[in-house]
Amino acid sequence: MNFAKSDKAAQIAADFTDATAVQGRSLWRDARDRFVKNRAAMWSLAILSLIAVFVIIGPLFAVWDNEEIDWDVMGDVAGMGFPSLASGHFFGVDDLGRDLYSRVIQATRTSLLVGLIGASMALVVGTVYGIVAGFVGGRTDASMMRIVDILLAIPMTLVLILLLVIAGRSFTMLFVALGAVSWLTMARIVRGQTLTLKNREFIEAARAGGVSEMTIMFRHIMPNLLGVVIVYASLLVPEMILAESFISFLGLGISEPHTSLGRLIAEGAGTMAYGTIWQLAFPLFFYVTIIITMFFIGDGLRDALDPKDR
Amino acid sequence: MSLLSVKDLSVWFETLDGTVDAVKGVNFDIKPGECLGIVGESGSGKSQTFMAAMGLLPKNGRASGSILLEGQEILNLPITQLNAVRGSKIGMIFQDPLTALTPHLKIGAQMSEVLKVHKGMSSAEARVQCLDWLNRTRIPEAARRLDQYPHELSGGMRQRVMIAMSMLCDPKLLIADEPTTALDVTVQAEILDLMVSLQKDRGTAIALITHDMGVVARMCDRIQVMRHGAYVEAGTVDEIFTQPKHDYTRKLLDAMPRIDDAGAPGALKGETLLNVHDLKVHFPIRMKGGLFGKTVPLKAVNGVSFHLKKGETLGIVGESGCGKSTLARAVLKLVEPTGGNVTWLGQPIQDMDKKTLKPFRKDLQIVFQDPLASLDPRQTVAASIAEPLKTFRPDLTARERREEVLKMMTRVGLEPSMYNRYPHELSGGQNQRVGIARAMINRPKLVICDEAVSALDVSIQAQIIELLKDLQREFGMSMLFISHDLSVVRAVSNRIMVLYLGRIVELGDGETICSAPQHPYTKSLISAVPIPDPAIERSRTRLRIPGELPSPLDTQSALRFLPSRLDAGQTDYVPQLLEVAPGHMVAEHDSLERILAA
Repeated sequence: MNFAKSDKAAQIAADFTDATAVQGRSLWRDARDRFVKNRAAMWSLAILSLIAVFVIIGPLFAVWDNEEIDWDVMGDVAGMGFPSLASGHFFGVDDLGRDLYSRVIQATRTSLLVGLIGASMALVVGTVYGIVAGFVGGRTDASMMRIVDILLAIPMTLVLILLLVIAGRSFTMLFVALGAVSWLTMARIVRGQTLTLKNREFIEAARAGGVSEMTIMFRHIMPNLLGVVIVYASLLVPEMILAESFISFLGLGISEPHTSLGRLIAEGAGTMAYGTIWQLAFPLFFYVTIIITMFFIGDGLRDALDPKDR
Repeated sequence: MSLLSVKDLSVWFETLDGTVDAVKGVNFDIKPGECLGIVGESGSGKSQTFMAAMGLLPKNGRASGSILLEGQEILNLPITQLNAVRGSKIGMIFQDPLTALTPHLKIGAQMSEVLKVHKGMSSAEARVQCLDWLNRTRIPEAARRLDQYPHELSGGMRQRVMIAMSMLCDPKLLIADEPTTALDVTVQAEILDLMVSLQKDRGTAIALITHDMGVVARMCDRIQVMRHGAYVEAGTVDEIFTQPKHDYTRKLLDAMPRIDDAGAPGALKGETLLNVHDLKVHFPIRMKGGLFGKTVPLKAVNGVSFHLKKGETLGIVGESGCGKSTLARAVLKLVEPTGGNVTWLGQPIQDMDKKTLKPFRKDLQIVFQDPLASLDPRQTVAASIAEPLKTFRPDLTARERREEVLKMMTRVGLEPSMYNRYPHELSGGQNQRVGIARAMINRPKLVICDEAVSALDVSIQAQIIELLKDLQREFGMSMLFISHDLSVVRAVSNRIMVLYLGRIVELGDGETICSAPQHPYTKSLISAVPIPDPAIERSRTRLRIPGELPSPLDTQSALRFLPSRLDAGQTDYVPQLLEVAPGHMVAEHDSLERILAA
């Protein structure tokens, strides 16, 4: 056949036979396949995505702005401010008569951002720092870890307050401040794991194979610590959300009219005795859902990244 | 009447992947005072038979059939009734004496617990009896051992403690599950002798579970050969060894390398590839004493010189702690040598930094002992094999690399379909093939095999040795073959080097070392190696040098074979290597009588 003789056809044919022969798998592709098979993690991911979608398109359906005060219900929040489709306050109103639907959306957005960005900063900085300290070892390790020890010894609140006072209050600074304190524990955990890994025979084997130290760190050490790191990071997300609400309580984090889930829950808890339980229930629902889904996703990721666990 | 009578015993495990049959309806009897050997490779179910008898099966394990101990059914008894039997009528010793002893209990406390439970003795009475039994196992300084923790004892001493402990209540049957596999040959010989004397003196029956035909030849009266959960052959020792009927038995016997085999590879002539001169590796060890403690050098390798020719295999033999692995790593510069020279093809490599050394790594490769630990658990085996290619041949495309890897996998006997498997999905032998493929993929000039076959079953071991020899024929690489097993080393090595506490005691060609050793240490090592032939094995006399392998920190022990110098007060004397015949080097030593008298 003429067709099969052209170079291009030969190339295609080669590619085709290539595809039918053994395909290489990577840890990442396997991990994805395993994660997709994990039903709890997939459900959690779906729910978390729904929340994210809600945060993005939710405002389109809002009748009231989050800053607007509904003067009509303000006088009798317990009696008239309950959730209702008719009044346009889908989640009811808060103590000042502001629309809780809009405020919850805004708060969820803030908290998700704070949690995810704070945790990922800790993840990146802490992991790299810990791997370098543990793998290089010796003096480098000692001095790097003493810095961590010193920083850990200073109360986290103090560091946060100082940072936010000196650099001024802003969203970005909040992330920086949270990230600055959260990577410390991560670095310690990663360093400990690295120490146990670096004496394993397969690291020696890689070294005998002429692999450079840098490559060993990222090709052999890192994938082997991912399990621990990811579980810890998924625990960090709720911790970040809580830390943020604490800072905001001190008046240094997010300030009115902006809000976060932590603040809304605190406000709702303060008024729960006066018959306005929805002020607690809606923010709490979003908060708990985010945290639980994060746990399952973290668990799923750990299992997915461990080829032994099937 | 038989002591233990097993009828139609089946053991199976319920797993998520379905039922796994471990033992498929076996029958056997053990008579009082006899030694029955149960031989088979890992996974053949030989341990599970006795685990079922002792009620030690894991939670998902089930057993059916019948096990009668002196006419009483003991299979599937409730734990409370079983406890009356375990320990008092049946004793058991395990392969790894460290994990079988509770780490935070003193030896005395663990031992007397048995007596308190079974005989209701008081602590003082129990202690006396424990001491009595420790003495019988010939532990040095037995009284002091009672107040020590397991980690303070050596492997051989721990196994003696285990034996003493299982013998406390004078059981009728002692189950020994690979009792000497984790021990050095000389220690193994002593433990086996101890078990023989117990069997004779106390009339204890022994069920010896092992994969080592040499041990069986020395110890057992009758043998059961087990495979895939069923017995393939049974008979007396002489029958099995002289006229094996089943193919599998024959295969097992053939796979066993023998130290008295003919046809060890002879010495080679050729260009020198590697030259090691006066290599030293010292590790600083912190000791107690003084205000801040002091550092003492642990001389793991203490002045070793040798050379290696192209295509030659040099076997390195020695007991644990003699520095053979450290020597290998120092040659590859995986640990930094403290002193001495390593010259590779005329190039001194000991002072090179990582960058300048890197191109040399292509030709210097290592195969490790534990196949599973030496592979990255998160990489597919193909990725592991391809790693040296990525480093040294970056010009290859992904596709060429894959072809190269597949070719090498086929060469070492791995199915191409295993390309994407992870190490834990493969067997030990397959993983070791992966390790060999990784070492061989760049066609190195020197491969160091650090106990590369020690963790494998006999038949797999034979296959891997065959593979290594094959590859050596094909690619002409040199090998440093490190092992504690003299018979294996002999089968592959042109020359053999015997190490004792970081120093060479004897170096010569394989035939000379194994059949005409000069140094007393080599002699004692060789006489301790069991030979899988009952007629020869039982008539051999064993050269026993008293005491266990001493610690390398003890400066006096380096002169164990030169007591005359010790007596003369020359404690820092270094024994010289003397050339007794061309190519046969022996370290200075006193006469055998003088050493045994010391």
